[in-house]
Amino acid sequence: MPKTDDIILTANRLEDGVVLWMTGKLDWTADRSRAAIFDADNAQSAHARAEQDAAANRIVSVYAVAVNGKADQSAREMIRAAKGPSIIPPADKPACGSISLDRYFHPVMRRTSDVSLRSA
Amino acid sequence: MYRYDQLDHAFVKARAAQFRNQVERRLAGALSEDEFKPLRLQNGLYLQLHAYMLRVAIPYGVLSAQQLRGLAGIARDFDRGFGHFTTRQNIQFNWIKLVETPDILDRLASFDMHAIQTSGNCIRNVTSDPLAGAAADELEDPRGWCEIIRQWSTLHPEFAFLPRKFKIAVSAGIDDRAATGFHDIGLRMVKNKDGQIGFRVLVGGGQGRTPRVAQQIATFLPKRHLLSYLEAILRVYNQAGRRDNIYKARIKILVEAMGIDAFRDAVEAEWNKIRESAVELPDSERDRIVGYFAPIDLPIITDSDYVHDISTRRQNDRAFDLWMARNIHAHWHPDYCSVTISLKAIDRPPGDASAHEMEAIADIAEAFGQGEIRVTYEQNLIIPHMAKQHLPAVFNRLAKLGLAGGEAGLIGDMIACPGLDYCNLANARSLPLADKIFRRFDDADRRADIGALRLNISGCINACGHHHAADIGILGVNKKGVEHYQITLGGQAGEAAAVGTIMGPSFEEADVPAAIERIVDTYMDLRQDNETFADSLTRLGTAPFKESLYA
Repeated sequence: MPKTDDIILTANRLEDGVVLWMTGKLDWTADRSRAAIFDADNAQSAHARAEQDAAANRIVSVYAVAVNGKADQSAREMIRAAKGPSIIPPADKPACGSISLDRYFHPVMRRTSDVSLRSA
Repeated sequence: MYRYDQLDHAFVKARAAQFRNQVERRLAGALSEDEFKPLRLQNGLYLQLHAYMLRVAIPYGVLSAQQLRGLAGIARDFDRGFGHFTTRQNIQFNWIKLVETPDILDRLASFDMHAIQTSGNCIRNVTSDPLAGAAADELEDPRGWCEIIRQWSTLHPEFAFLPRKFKIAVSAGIDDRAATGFHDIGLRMVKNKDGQIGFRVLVGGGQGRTPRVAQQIATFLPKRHLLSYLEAILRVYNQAGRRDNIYKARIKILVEAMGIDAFRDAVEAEWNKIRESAVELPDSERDRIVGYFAPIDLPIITDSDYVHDISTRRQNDRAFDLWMARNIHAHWHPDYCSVTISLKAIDRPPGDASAHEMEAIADIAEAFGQGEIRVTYEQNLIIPHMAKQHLPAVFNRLAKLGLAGGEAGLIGDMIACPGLDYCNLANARSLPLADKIFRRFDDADRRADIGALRLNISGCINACGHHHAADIGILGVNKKGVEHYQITLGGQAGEAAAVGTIMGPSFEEADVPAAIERIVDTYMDLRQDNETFADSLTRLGTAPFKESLYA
């Protein structure tokens, strides 16, 4: 059971912005499941290492997430851990043939307004 | 369209080279993040939730087919194959690598685009009516004036470090399709009693945590004084705007603190010093720039068989009929129209388009339009200057792409910010909620029956999703670590710009679609004759809607 002052450290890689977490070996991983939980005794050395790496232009935007059963389970941290949005972005591929429009339109369509095809 | 001259080409190439050098220095450690951040923001590069995000300027929302293909190429070669069109008529790429950004800026420069002034406390990309030059109801094409403002404001040395960002919109239609009332400066082209066309100037509008509708500072400003008057407003703001508190730094706060009359007096005093000076634009230069936007030469269509064909198809094809009713806009030329291509559908985040879709739309614009595309405030695309005889073929092409649905101006045509799925500032997700609401109203007949209704979603109080300016606004908030959503009613972005009223306590995400449905059902039960949602709300007030919301 995590203690209230337990933390994980997270950042973005400078060169490409990839989300990173600090491991128990005080290096960085893009795999959230390998993130280490630092207690109060170890947090200081973890923060010091993060500051070193930021100063060495390897990472940016470092912050600690409290592991208290809530913060690291927030939507924000879960989305970061998932490495992508919770919706499916458009895929870059050609549509294959005609699609059914039934999903968009009810069988009985009422006209709500009109547009002149040709003025008088 | 405006075309880059040698100076423009040299300028954007030099700017890209400058940023390449800055990135190299950052990666080498010669620049700290604190030193580099303002430089990258001046080139539209943010660090977001998953990666860097690049916002590319689309001046007043106008793109050539070649430029849209170019953006598709960037999406494919440097991102994940899609882009996100924004309410400020720009495009954002969500998965950008810092190391590749200089190459992207070079690529953009190769087709006359850039990312300058899409971030930072400067005058941002000027926005306008997406039907500019193609609308039936406009006094004149506002794009020439947008371009003049763009050239005046680009890297303006005096206004590169304003107290806060600064947004200008220009509209010349009877309908305000550029939300001028929610801009730092809104310019409405109007005709005075002598028949001259000039500008009604609004100032101090904006959204965010302190939403304000812009107030009128000048009833009629002659065209020749536009730049000197804008410069006077900016000078007063630059000198008197607050820099001690980011939340009170926008011009709307200054205008409110001074009062519009005192603010006007200060602007007039400054203006009297600089009008009739070098700031005024020479007529020859004005004519040169406005000349790029001369009315397009559109031939009369003599063969009128298409009128019958379209009429017949409308009677037999409900999807085509609804598309004609909602997504086709009147043009000044009776044989032509403009076509909205909706970027709203189930499983499509509002405003997103894949690279393939962008290329296909560019093809359609060239084959059936005049090779031009517009980006709208509502996060859709428009092909202007389309001969009406092509409408059935265009519909067929769009249907094959899955882009023939999503009726403009109905409840499915939602504006939504990227929200917590991408944005570092967001408190809550916007995109999944937009999808759930679309699914709740996944019946085009029902959407059409509901009629005109704007529903906007913002993932935080910064209000990028313009929830304040919607008939139904939804604001994401963080309530003890859980995403909640507050509902507002009665906002408007157009001629009668208004800020929506908060209805009460927020809802959990799962309860929002049903809550929206209760509001809509209340309207359907109580509306009279042809009342729109906004009309009913004005007549009835918020009480019956609030009652249904919290029943």
